[in-house]
Amino acid sequence: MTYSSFLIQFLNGLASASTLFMVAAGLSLIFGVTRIVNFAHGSLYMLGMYIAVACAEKLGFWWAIPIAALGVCAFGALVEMLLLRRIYGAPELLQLLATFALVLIVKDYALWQWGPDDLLGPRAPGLKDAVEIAGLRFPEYDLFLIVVGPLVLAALWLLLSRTRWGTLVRAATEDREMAGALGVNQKWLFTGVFALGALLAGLGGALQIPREPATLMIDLSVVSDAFVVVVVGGLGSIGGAFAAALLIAEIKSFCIGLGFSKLTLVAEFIVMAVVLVIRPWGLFGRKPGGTRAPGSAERPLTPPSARLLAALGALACALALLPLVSGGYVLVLMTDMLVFALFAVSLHFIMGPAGLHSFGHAAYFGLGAYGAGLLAARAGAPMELALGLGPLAGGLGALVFGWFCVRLSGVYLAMLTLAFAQIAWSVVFQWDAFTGGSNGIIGIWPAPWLSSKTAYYYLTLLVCAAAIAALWRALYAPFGYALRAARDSPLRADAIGIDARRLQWAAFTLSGLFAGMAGALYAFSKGSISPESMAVPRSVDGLVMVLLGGIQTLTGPVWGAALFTWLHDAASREIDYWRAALGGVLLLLVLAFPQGIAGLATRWPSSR
Amino acid sequence: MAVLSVERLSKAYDGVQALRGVSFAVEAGELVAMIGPNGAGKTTCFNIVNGQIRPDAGEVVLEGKALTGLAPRAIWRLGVGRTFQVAATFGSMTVRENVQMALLSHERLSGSLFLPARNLLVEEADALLGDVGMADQARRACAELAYGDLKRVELAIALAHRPRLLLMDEPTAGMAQEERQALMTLAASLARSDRLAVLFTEHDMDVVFGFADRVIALHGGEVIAAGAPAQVRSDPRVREVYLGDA
Repeated sequence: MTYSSFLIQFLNGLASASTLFMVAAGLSLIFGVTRIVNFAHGSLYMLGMYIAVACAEKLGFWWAIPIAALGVCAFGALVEMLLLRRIYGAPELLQLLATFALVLIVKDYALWQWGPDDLLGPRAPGLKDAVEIAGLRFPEYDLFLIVVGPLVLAALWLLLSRTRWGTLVRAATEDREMAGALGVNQKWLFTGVFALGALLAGLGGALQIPREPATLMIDLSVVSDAFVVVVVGGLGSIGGAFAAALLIAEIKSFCIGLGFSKLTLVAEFIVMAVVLVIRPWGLFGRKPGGTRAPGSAERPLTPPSARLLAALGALACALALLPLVSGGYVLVLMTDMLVFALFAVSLHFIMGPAGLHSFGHAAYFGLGAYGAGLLAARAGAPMELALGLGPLAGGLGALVFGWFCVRLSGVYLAMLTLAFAQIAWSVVFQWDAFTGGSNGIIGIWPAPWLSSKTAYYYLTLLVCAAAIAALWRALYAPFGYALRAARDSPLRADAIGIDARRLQWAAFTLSGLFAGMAGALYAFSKGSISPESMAVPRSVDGLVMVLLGGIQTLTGPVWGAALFTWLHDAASREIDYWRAALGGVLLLLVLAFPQGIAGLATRWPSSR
Repeated sequence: MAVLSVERLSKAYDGVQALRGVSFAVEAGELVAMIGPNGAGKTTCFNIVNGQIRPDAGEVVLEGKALTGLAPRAIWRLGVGRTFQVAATFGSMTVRENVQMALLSHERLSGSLFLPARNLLVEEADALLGDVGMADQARRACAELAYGDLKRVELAIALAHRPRLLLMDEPTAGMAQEERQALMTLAASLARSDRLAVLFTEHDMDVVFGFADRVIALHGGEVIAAGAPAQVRSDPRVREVYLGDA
């Protein structure tokens, strides 16, 4: 690499860092004050892009930028007043779920308004040319972006350190209750901060349009990039967000510049991993104060009652007899339900008893599915072998990612699991030669003796029932007790010799293995596998299943998975914009039961 | 030989010297109270012995084995039990399961995936609960206990692996007067019958002078007096620190 191309890549990185910084700073600010991790922050960025492209056609580029930023800002304020304001007291998981519902709704709105195709933005008038730097051409617009980033940083710094409003924001970030007790009007402060965060995201998106097209996929990729930046920089630190955005953007730029664009994600992963090992709360972050203990009010685990065992036995008989009375479509749907029941139970295993809130569980489902699919389709392994070995890919992925994840807790953990899942997804999505890229792998069929829907249904029933029973058994065993001990009181667990981290790591790996098993069964039931099966929405599906059934119950995830799979199936067949419909239902549920959808299920004693 | 011997411990936080060369020892079967005004270094000293903080200099030795630099869970395995200022128990478990958990960990069974935990070591757990007078509440959820009872459960947990040394950080904080006496009487009798060494910090002087065999007074990170309760009580420096007498 010559000196001049080195310089150009460096400048490229600086330009990319500017917009990344704006998104991450907004996310960080909002979290600092409201304690809400805004999953929909990438959606605000996407909205900024689309509005800017649409306005630029009619009003010209330089008008479109502020209009898009202000439009997104107004939308943010509205969201805060109508939605978030009602759920500040709700458990963390439900808040995240609500913002994810927004992701779904915004995505379908963009689809409806602007269509499925990518929208190319115009180039910026006055900055269309390139300048010569060290003998190479570099776009003027990118130089402009390099200047804008530090300007925004400076403006934010002035706003936060030199205005009364900024003092209030800092006070609320430092100690929310104290600020409230001193008479700060929290309502408008929160709205203002959310609107500012939205403005930054919208501005970042709008400024990006000359460099890349607006797409419907950008929301989740931007938000997971922002998560990486925030985790590396330290939650709540604007300076940290800037430094981390520079670091991440430079790494990306150099990987692409050196011709290793495929390694970008791996490099990003390694940087994040190194930072987290050295400084678990990010470069400029501080260890968060006590995280909310979700299990503090949980009742002791009682052995399954005779009634519940009888009900489960009856259910097993009914499921075994099902193929006698129905076939075809019902069996396919039931197979899906069983697979997702195992997926949800494996997620509950770490979320409930271990208290590790994973937002990227689909990664292990997908790794298991791809593991089995690749063995069968690429290596020509017999189906039985592929099904047996495939889940190990999920377990292995969880072993590696879990090592980092169990070092964090609370929202840091949630963001890290999501970022890992996004990385795993991108690798599968981009690695055309091996994984088939966006097309996935086709022709993953079961062995002849299992090729009928009925035979495969029985196999799934058998494997899922055994796997779920094994996971439950582990929760009744000392292992499960020790996990709950480490969750209930880390202090006490440490003081009676329990190595919480090692146990949690083992639980994470085990959970990944069983999710991988569900994935492998899924691959053979569909005959094909695509990256969609491990994308972020699938992870959120798992969360919804667990929360729907009740996180404090063992059997809850099973009922939640069955209900969700059925609803999803019905909605996606009947409704065009089913994502938005699903998002709407989620929002209604969260607003109607801000203390947890689980509360519904726990009222029925038979379900625990 | 002393069960616990602490030699020349020093610790500074950001330039503030919290401990300066603190040394003392605790013998088997004796209750030693550590007193001192807020900021005297009691908690720092305690957390070093327990392994939560590393000292800048000095040694902590348990029956000839160096504890300095070990993690709390390793120190626990060597025979140190601990109760906390705010009782730390497992809220989602019953009273019995709390004690079972400590016993399971002691037997190195906490990684086991197959045996049903609730049937393991039940008799041993109930015996410990009997010792602290909580046997009749073994099946209750820990989260619904009165605070005094919770403290007793915590004591049973701390004694589960038959420790040689019991550390109690403000054992009676947050309790009513009668409960204080009852808990300390219980701890003292258990310690004497097992020849256990007990080190506790305490603000309540009735508890200190009523139960301690020896008292160590800290001030400004240094031991200013140590010895029998009556001796420490009449020590001029202690009186100066507590009462402002000259």
